[in-house]
Parts: sequence; structure tokens; C-alpha cells
Amino acid sequence: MPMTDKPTDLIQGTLDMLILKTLALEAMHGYGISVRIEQMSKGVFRLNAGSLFLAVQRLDREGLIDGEWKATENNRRARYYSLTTKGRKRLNDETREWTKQVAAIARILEAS
Amino acid sequence: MMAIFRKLTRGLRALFRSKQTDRELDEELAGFVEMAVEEKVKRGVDRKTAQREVRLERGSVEVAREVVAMAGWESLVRSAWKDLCFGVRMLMKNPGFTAVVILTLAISIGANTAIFSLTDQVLLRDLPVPHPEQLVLLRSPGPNHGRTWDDIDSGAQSFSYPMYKDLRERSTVFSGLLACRGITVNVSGHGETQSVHADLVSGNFFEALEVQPAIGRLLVPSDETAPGANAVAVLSYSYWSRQLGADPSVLDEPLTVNGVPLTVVGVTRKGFYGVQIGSTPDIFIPVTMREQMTPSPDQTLGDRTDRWLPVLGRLKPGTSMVRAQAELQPVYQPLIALDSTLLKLSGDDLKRYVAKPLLLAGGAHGRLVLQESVEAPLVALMSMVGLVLLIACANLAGLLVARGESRQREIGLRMALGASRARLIRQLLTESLLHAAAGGAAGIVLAWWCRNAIAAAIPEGNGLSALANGLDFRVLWFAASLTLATTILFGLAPAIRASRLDLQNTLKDQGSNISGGRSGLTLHRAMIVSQVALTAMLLAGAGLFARTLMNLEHASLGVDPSHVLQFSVAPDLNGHTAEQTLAFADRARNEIEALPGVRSVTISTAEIFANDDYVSNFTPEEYRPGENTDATYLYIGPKYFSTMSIPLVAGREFSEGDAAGSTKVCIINEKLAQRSFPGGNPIGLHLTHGAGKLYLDRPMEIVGVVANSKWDDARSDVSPFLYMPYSQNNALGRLSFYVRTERDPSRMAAAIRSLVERLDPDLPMKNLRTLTEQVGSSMANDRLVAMLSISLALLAALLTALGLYGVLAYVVARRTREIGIRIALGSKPVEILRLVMEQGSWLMVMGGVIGMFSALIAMRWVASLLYGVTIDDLPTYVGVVVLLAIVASAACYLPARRAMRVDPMVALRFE
Repeated sequence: MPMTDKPTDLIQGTLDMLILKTLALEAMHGYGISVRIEQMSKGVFRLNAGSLFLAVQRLDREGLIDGEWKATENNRRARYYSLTTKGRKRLNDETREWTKQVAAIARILEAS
Repeated sequence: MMAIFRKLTRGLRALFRSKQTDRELDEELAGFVEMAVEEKVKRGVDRKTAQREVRLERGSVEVAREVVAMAGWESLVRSAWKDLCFGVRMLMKNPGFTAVVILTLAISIGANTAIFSLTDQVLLRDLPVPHPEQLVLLRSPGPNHGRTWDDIDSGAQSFSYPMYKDLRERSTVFSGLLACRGITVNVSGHGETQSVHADLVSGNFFEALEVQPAIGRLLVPSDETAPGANAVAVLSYSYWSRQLGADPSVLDEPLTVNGVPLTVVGVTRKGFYGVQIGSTPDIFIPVTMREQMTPSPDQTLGDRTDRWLPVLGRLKPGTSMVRAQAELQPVYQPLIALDSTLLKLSGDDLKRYVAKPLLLAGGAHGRLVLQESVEAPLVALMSMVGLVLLIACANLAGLLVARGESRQREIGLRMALGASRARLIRQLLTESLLHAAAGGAAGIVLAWWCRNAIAAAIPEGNGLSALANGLDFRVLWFAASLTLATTILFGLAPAIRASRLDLQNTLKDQGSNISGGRSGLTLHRAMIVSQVALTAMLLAGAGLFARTLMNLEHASLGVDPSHVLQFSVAPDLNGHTAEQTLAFADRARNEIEALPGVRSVTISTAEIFANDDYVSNFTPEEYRPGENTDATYLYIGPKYFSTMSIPLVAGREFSEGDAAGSTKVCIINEKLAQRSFPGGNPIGLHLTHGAGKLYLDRPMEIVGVVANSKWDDARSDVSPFLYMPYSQNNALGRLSFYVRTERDPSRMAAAIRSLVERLDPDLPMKNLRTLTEQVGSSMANDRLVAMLSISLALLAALLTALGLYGVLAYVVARRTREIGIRIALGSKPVEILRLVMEQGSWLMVMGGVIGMFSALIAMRWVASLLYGVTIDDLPTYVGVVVLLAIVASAACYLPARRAMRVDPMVALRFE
């Protein structure tokens, strides 16, 4: 299986950040989120249904995203998730933290 | 904060609207898959392949659903609920087993809580005052001369009022030295007069005890100035709320006590009951009011030879009891020397009297009057319930282990099907907790019931009666946690054991088991043997106590209590003089005698079978120095001996002719005659009340000798008695009437009550009851011990029978195959019966023998409670053996019958 469940395996918590980032532009349903992440990562990350909905439920319970049942463009019912104010704040915090860490790791790796 | 709330509400929603939540999740997942499939279909993949690819790429919907559903906290609750439902089903499937476990738990928790609560209140609890550990009791043991009030400790704890005051002023080791004496007074108001308990207390009483008022003020040192000058009173909180409806307007109002108006200045705080556990003083009155409160012409507050006042001290912080005692001696010596001069002592009497020390004893529990009489029975009962608790725990352990083993196979199967060890433990824990919860709840109910039963068994005025209505939750917690821990521990044992076992072995072993290996049963056998031993001890104890009660009930009292009605009045408390009381006594006697159905009436100045005695010395005409001349003094009316059915041995009874002014006369009992006048005829001889050179009265002529009779209770020995006519008592105060009737005496009660009320409507009648009831109440503690010990022993026997039955049933079940083979090979049913019975009887015999020997040793501690029976009483032990044999046969019979009916064909196919 190519790269199915790698994100959660690689760095704990990054999946949450990716989902938040995906939802920063517009509200989306579960499949939309997974497609968007796949596209943006150019196919590196492909989400498994279990991991995706587990993360979605966790974010929902933490109050970072809100779900709402709506009709899709194909006239199917789906739950659309959108960022809450708290979620937006968390995304900013995590992005800043992530950039800082990545830069630091990069410096360490380049130093040797 | 918000986040937690959100988690909680979402979780709860998932829990309570689980169907909707599940449906939404399903729909979301299905949509997810469907959209992925459509995407592929659009790119030209055929639908079947697309579905397979999605499944491979995105994982299965079922797994995703499980993963998501198990993630929230609510899933734990959901599985716990499932465990619970399953547990209840398992328990319902074995109603017999469940009932036994719950009953065992309930009984041990209930009985222990009820009796420990009572014991705790009487024996273990400190007085409810700040720093009770600083309190000490003062005692001066040694010979008593003069007048000594003796409620405990042979009068060593009674002091004269001047002695108390001198000690208070001269000692330096106390932050407060207080005095307190319980008495009975008459309170009148609202047209009726009531007899209530009062404490005569020193002015510093409340300050020294550091008690606060609920309203008003408490007594202070300035309330103790001069005899008769301090007409104030403080009410106890319970009296104030019970009798006066907690009305604050009682403050500064007069309360008529013994005809004297006392100003109520305050009410003590709730829960304060003085310095004696079991006593319930209603009113606190300054000690200087003694002459008004306990009227008696020859008792004055300043009399140094009249010792009547118990004294307690609060040590200064940091002062040890030893040091305080040492510092008190130089203060006490001159005071006791002064007493000896006033008592006109000489020779050896003087030497021994002035050598009396002043000792201190721990006073945190207050005065130990109640404890003295109930400590031994309570400790005995407590030990017995403790044993029952042990038996119950052993029984529970045995039952649970046996059951656990019979479930070994089930547990093995579950593990084979993939149940984790943690999951199994959780399941068994749930079942154990269910047992524990049901048993605990039933135990609390039973504790309540036991408490009420015990309270009902204690007669009013026993001292214990005021204490029997509390349940101690610490004790409840203790008994509950012990039994619950047993339940949970032994309920879990099989899970822990099973999870350690090799799966294949468990399943195989059970299948090929023929004779039920002996190794696993050692624990059960040990538990049964110990249960039987403990039960044998309890049965032996119960037998001895039952025989004690029977002996007491049939003890020769020397009086005939049947057909006698009694009551007491205290005209002196209403301010009547001795002359008025004498006139009332004569008149009441004549009028009651005239009632139809009355045979005879008499009076005494103290109550029989109520530990109400006055002991003093006398001096015979020919006094031999060193001779023991104490006697119980009792003033009685004419016809006393005929009414009480005490035979006259020589001389005559008192008659109406023995009046106040005529020759002073007395009658003695045989015990006194034999001790003080051995060999001679005492009639016509003289003796004088008082000893040494302190004569209290004119000489009396002995006019009669009567047979011995019991006075305090059936248990006590006959004491030497000196009877005098009440007409010649110049301090006549209290009167006890005895009415011998032709028929049922209780039917006369109403007529007699209305007659006395007509004679003096302000006179409260106390203890109006039959003499048989009075005798019964003097045995209340013995009856309580006998009844409770019998109940506990039978309970223990029942538990043991259940335990034995459980183990034998288990053995038979395990050996069904073996028994089947035996029957198939031609064993007769009798042989099978013997096989099973042998198992049970060996355990019984071993336990019984151990129990009997333990009982012989343990019963030494309760020997003081026994009467007319020794600890090695053969009939008791024979009875125990017979009872154990019956219990054993009953417990063995059912499993044995099942074994006998084993069908070899079924048995061999079984498993």
C-alpha cells in the first residue's frame, strides 16, 4: 500500500494541523478534506477513513471545528466542517510553532 | 473549561442518543467511500474494481467505525454498562449463590455495625468537650468512715464539699477542678410535676470543661457562693428542645424545682451531656443548692464527713498525670488528717485512714459508672460479632473460590475467543462489585434493624438506652470495607489465576478430570475447619450465657416477686417535711390496702432490684475491736416481710405499734445474725447505728430475725441487712410501695395510680410496674448478652452450614465422573453416601475439636459474666457437639443425595 497511513505514523499531531489548514479556506466534508490533503501534498499523504474521522471527531470535541449537515454539489448529504475561532487561533499557533521547529531541525541537519 | 464541557456534552449525546450518533457516523463513512468510488468511476474504472481499490486505499468502513466509536470517553461507559448487564444476568442465573453471598455480607456488616456502634459510644468515645485528654478523675481509695456515697469504685471517687473546695483552692496543677453529682429532682409547672435528672455542679463546671451555651449564659464561679443562695439553673439542650420546644423565652424565667423557683440563665450547647456517658442530665444546678435539691435534715454542705461529690480536674497544659499526682499529696495529707480528727478515729483505723492517697485516673471518657457494669458484656458481644465477621469472610472466600473454579472452563473459553486478561478481570470485578453493592446496601438496612432491636431490648433507665439509637458510620465503613474487600479479592482470584494458566491445559484438564484433584481443595478445607472452630466457640459461649440467664431467672431471690406491684415517690423533692411524708406514707398504705383485690401493702425507703442501697456500720453491745460491722440499712413498713414473702425466722415483724416515739427497734437477717451474733440468740440485744465513736443515733433493740433475701439483683450475694421501721426515720424522704395483689398485679396499676394522684396530685410516680418486671430489668444486660450471643451463634452455624454445603456440592460436582464410574462398577448408594459424608464429617470433627479447646481458653475472659455455670460446663459442650452434628448432616445431606442419584450414563457423557 503506497503511503496510506504515513502522516499519523510520522509525526503525532501533524494530521490535526493539516486538517485545520485545509478547513482554513472553506468548509469541507470528510472526503473533501482527504482529497485536498492528497492534492496539496502531491499524493504523499493519503488518508485512511479511520484516521481521518478519528481526527475529525477529536477536533470537533475540542471545539476547534464545527460540523453541519448540508447537500453536496452531487445532491448527496454530507457533514461539512468549518473552523471555529478557536480552531483558527490554534492553526496560527501550530503553524508558527511548526515553522520554528522545521527551521531548527533544518539548521541542525545542515550543520553536520 | 469550555473544551471539557464540549467533550462532556458530545460524549453524553453519543451515550444517550447512541443510535443517532451511530447512524450519522455510518452515513458520513458511507458518503466518504461513495465519493471516493464515484471519483474513480468518473476516471473510467469500473464500479466493482473501484470499490475494491477504495477499500484497499482507505481501509474498511467497519474498522473505521470501530476506531472512531472506541475513541471517546463514553465508549468506556458503554462497555462498563454491558459488563454490568452481563454481571446482573450471571448473578440472576445463580439466584441461590447470589442470595447466600448477599445475605452473608449483609449479616456481617449489619450485626457488626450495630454492636460496634454501641460499644464505641460506651467504651471508646471521649467526652464531647475540647481537649478531653486533659481531664482526670480524682480518687482516694482506702477505708471509708462517716457517710460515703458509693456509685462506683467502692466510694473512692466521692469527696466532701469542703474537701473539694480546699483542693480547688490549694492545688496548683489544675486549670480547673470541677465537681458534679447526678440527682433526681421534681420539676413542676403547667399543672403537673415531672421527675427529671439534674446535675449539681460547681460554679466553674462549664468553664473547666470549656462548654459553650446555645443561648443565655452558663454557670460561672459567682454562681457558687453560699448554701441556698444561688437559685439559678442551666438547661440541657435536649431538655430545652424536648420539653420546652426550644423556646428562647424561657431565659430569666423561673423554673420550679423541688418547690424552689430557680431562674433559668441559659442552655448548654447541643450534644453536651455532662461528665458521665449514658447519663442524661436535664438541668444543671449550682452545688450550693444541694440542701434544697436533696432534702435531708442531717446532710449539710459543710459536713466534712459526708462524702458525696465526684470531682474531676482539667490538668494545666503540659502537666503530666504523674507529676500532678505527686504535687497533690502534700495538699491532700493535712485535709485527710483533719477528716480523721472529725471522725474521731483512733488506733489502726486512724493509721489506715490517714494513709489514703489521692490518685488521678484518666478522665477523657468521663466518669465510668456505666462502663463498669456494661464493659464486660459489651466486650464479650463485640468479640462474638468479630468472630461472626471472620466466619463470614471465610465463608465468602470459600464460596467465591469454589464458584470461581467451577467457572474456570468458561474463563478459559473466553480467553481462547480473544478476551484480554484486563477485560476478564473487569468482568469479574463488575460481578464482585455487584455482590458487594447489594450486600452493602442490605447490610446498612440490617444494621438499622439490629440497632432498633437492641434498643428495644434495653429497658429505659439502663444508661445504655440513651446510647442505643446511634449508628456509627465509621464502623459501618470498617465492616463494609472488610467484607467488600473479601468479596472483591476472592471474586477476582479465579480471573488472575485463569489468566496465568495455559489455555490448552485449562480446557483439557477440565475435560479429563476424573477424581477432582485434592490439591485445589486445601484452601477450602482449611476455611471450613476454621469456620467450624469459630462456630463451636460461639455456640459454647451462647450456651454458657443462655444457661446463665436461665440460672438467674430461676435463682432463689428470697422474695416472691409474683403478684406484687411496685412504685416509688419522693415527697421530699416537693418540699415535704419528714412528718408530712410519714403522714402521707401511713395514709397511702391504708387507702391502697382498702382497694379491692389488694392483699397487703408495705413500704421501704429504697427500691429493691435497683442497686439502691445504703451501707453503713453499726456497733453491737459487745463490740470486739476489728470486727466487721457493716450492714445494708433499710427502713421498712409493717407487713414488709409478709408482703415480700420473706419468712420470719425468730421474733416478730414491725407493727403499727413501732411508732416514732416508741422504743427504737430493728430486725436483722440471718446473714447478719450468723456473722455478728454467732451461736447466740440476738433477739433482745441492742446495737447502734454508726461506728468508732461517731454514733449516729440511739441504740436499737433487735426484735426479729428474717430469712436471707437478695437485694441488688439475682446475681449478687446476700448481704447482711439491718431493717428499721420507717416511722422511726427522722429523715423520711423517698418511699417505695409494694402491693401484693390477689390477681394479675398489672391490672391494679390504673386504680393505684389514680388513688395516689388523688392523695397528692403533685407527686410524680416512678417505676410503676410489677416486681417481676423490676427483677427482669435488673437482668437486662444478662438477657441482652444471652439473646445476642444465641442469635450470633445460630447465625454462625447457618453460615458454616452454607459454607460446608457449598464446598461439598462443589466436590460432588467435580467428582460426578468418578462417582458415575463407581456406580457403574457396582458401588451401592450407601457407599457413595459414606464417601460424601466422610468428607464433611472430617472437617466438622476437626473444626469442632479445635473450637472446643479454643472455647475453653477464651471463655475465661467472660467468666465474670457467668452465673451458676462454669466455663467447662459439660451439658453446654455436649449441646454444641449435637448442634454441630445436626448442622453437618444437614449440610452434607443435599450434596450426598445428589451424588447417590448420579446416573452413570449421564455422568460419563457429562463434560
